[in-house]
Amino acid sequence: MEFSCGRDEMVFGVKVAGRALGRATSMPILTGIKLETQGNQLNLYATDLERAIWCSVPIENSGGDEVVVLNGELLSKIANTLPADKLTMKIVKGTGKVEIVCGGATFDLFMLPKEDYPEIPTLPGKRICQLAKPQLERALELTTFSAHMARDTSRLSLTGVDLVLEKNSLKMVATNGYRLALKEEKLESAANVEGEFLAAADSLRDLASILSQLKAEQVELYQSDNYLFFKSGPVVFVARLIDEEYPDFDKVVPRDNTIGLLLDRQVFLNALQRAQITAAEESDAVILNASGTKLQLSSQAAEKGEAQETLELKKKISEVKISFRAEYLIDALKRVKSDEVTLWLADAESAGLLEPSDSEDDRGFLYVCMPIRMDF
Amino acid sequence: MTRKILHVDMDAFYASVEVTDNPALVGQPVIVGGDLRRGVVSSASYEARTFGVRSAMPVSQALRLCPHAIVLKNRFSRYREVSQNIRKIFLSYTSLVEPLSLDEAFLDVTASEAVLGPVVKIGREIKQRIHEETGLTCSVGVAPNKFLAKIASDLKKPNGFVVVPIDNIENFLKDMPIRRLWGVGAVTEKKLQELGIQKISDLQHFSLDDIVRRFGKWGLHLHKLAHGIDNRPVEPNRETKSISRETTFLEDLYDIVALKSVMRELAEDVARDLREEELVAKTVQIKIRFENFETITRSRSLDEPTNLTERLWQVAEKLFDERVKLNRRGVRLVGVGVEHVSSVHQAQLSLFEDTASKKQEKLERVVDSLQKKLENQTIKRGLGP
Repeated sequence: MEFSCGRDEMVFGVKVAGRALGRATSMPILTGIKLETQGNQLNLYATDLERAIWCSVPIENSGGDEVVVLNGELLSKIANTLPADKLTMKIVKGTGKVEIVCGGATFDLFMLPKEDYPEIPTLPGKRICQLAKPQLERALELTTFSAHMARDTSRLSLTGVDLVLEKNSLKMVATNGYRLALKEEKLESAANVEGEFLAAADSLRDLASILSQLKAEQVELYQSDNYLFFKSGPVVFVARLIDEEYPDFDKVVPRDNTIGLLLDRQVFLNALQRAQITAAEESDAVILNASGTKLQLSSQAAEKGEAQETLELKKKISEVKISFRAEYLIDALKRVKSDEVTLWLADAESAGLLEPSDSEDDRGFLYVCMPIRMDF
Repeated sequence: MTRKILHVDMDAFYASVEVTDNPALVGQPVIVGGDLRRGVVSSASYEARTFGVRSAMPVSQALRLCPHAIVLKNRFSRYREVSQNIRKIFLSYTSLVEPLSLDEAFLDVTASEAVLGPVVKIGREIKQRIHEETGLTCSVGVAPNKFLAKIASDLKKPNGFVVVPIDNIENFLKDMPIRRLWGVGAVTEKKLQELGIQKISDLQHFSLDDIVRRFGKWGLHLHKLAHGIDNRPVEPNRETKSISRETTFLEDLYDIVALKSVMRELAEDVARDLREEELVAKTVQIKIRFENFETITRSRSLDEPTNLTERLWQVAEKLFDERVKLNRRGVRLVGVGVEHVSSVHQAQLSLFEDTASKKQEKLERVVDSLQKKLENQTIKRGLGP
């Protein structure tokens, strides 16, 4: 192996692939990035077995096609500190090392045993659908936060984001069992397959951060038995599917709530953030007490004190009193972009539905939140 | 610097609240219990106590001791309300308030002295304000740490006010039985007595090396307590109380099946307490003390708070199976407990109804009431000394 490339190309490749580096020490090889020369292209791979990323960058290849595995953390440190210059990399025969030269700097890095490197799932032949990158990014932003944060849970399915692919739309849904976010994207070109795929939310959060660094305009989705693939420009992101049944989310979206609290989003958000300051630590409960055109927010905690604030509703309603975990409403209101939102309620113990009013960015977004039962 | 710690303990709290809410009960023997006739005593007025009625005694037994007692059902939401009012009084003196339950709390007023005057004055004022604003009496202990403050508040109950003399702490403790030391139960007491240790002064004079050799790190802890040393801080954020049950075995236990069956019973007791007080818990903890007194605790949080025996035991058993290595050591104590406790009346509701738990809850409620009936008929379940 012997090739040269721009320093920036190497930094990009290492940074993107590096997001999938194994953190667990159970398999030392997973701390490595696999580099493969293939004509005038360098492929960089990394995986922690839950997700895998590969990324191609252009090179001038002066050797054959070959594979080495190098410590990902070292490689990334080195790439980041090298001068903005041409970089060459080659195997130093008989030493088990790879030499990296850039400007006046030279590094010799030990190779990790490439035969230990796990097989990376290959891209299946036929893609299932394609959508604009900003669409997927927005859908990820509006859903992944809602999933159950993985750690010691008996409900593995809730740690995922459910992707429901229909002929002309892709729905993404995430819930932790108490709140649920749903975003539906229209597809410009019809999907090749219909189906439901459950992928880990934390993998998809990584996908979102990688997509934000790419210039490509489209993302293509592929699927195999165990994996979902997202291909955008020179990058492929592979997420392992969760083999669990996802709960019937359609059933819990309350479409018949009749009390609609129409609010200025930013005003509502700011008021909630203030009320949250004195909410009880364990429950984070904020009480919403609305009647006519007034909405009163309040919270209290024995160890802190209490807060109260009154907002103006933009439409008159009858009357309702309900309590929510402040964090849940804030999470959604922070990400929505519409100027106005409607919180649809029925009674103190039924789910509320948050619906953004206008913005193009929020189209197809729904947010459902269960209240906290209170002794009113 | 010497800390200034108060321990405030309400006198016969639930019963006293009932009496202040209904003046017709003044001077009467009042018993507050889980359920009329079938429950256990959760609080008894001092008039009832003169007949030998005690907390945790089956109501049926209490009524035999004191047939004319007035038995009332628990009203936890009312007790919680009064408790909140009392806490507001505490918080006007210091933010360092650590409630232990609805009726007792530690206060660290070290920093308040500069503004509000000496600790004794603060303590008296709090006691008086509680009485003025709620009509209830309490007992207060004033000391440089939590252990001593708690001992002090208990010395002159009810309506007591005891200040531990800081320059004479060892003398203050010396004639007390070793049972007073935090963590010393019947079994440890016996082991200490075998060493000739009866009173705290015996432990004060006992060689530290010998105690540590016999009891390990725990021995050091005991020795420190005997000298009145306790550095635990007052922790204001431990608002939510925990509930736990533990058992010390007369002989060290090696048999896993036997250990588990004891733990299962403890889990059942804890879960029943939660259900009686209309609480749910988010974290389950187990505690194991080995023959060499090494003590470990392991805990895990649940996805959803529970008060179901099955769920609680499921997690406790898993903790025991996966995170405890006996390595053929004998076990002298096991405990099961819960933390992060909250009211079922303030529960975060779920989107997806869990029908399996609903059924289990119903079942366990039936078992609860059957068990109470049984207790009533035979009183065969010992409730401890």
